[in-house]
Amino acid sequence: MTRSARPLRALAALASLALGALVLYAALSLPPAQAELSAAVDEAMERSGVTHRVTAILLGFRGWDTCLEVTVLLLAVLGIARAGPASERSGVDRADRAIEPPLAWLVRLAVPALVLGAGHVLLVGSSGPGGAFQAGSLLAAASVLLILAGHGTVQRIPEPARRGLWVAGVGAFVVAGGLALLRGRLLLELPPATAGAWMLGIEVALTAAIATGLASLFAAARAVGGSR
Amino acid sequence: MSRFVVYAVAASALVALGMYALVAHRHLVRKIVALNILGSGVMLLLGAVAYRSGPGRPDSVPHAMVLTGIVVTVSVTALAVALVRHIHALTGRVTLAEREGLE
Repeated sequence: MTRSARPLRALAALASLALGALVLYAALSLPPAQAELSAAVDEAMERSGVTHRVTAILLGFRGWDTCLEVTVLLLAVLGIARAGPASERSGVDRADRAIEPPLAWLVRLAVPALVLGAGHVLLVGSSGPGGAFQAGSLLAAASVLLILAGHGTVQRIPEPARRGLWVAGVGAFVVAGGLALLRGRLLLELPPATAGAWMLGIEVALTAAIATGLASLFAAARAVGGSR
Repeated sequence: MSRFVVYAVAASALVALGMYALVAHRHLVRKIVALNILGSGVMLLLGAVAYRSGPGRPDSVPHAMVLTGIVVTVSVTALAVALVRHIHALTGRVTLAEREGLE
């Protein structure tokens, strides 16, 4: 540690303590709990098209936040894919390499369970905890297991289709929002009668986008600099 | 109420620790982990705020925000890790270059 680094570290420690104290002060000085927002959500639940509050919030009341979130995921995927499109495929397809028995056993056991679980979690999201992100993460986990075992899954999808899948999440929101605007409503305002169906459609697209995006992130991050 | 205080203190401690580690450590992977800890502190605070609304069901809006936050954290971490690997592949180091004359 250089001589001039010590006072810098002390300054950083002081600043971090101050930040922590500020956060604590802000948290403790919150006004006494009011259930206004909670009550407003409960009141609007009938018009949301689903029976689970978190799903209704994520895809209905605060759908814009979810749209931005999948945009962030897409930006991360694009950022890593920029590291070199060819590098994504290097060293991933090692199907001819002998796989250790425990890994093979795990893959055979876990991948079908993960795929089934993802389907279930996606569909149960309308009435219980679940939805696109959980399902997408399960599918991505299955993909990661397969990549570790030498069967590159995401890499086998041809390039244009893969890019289409990446963009599917944002695209679903663009379609839903655009159609709402064309009908003269607010952006991303879903018609109450068919809101449930709209949400399921968006969630399917989101699941595909999240699964493909996360798996591509893993594959690309693994391949970058892997030749060293 | 006192349960919320416990969570608030824990969240503030995580934020302070994460912030310090983010600034003080030179190794890039440690910075990434520190960023995750910082985010976990914020999400813990959000979760605690959700349960503050007394008896009855917790407020679901912070829950949705935390879910969003988790996905964003994963994306940012993945991009950061890929960038670190790229830096390592290009320079052979896992720290950022020090500027001459500043230290």
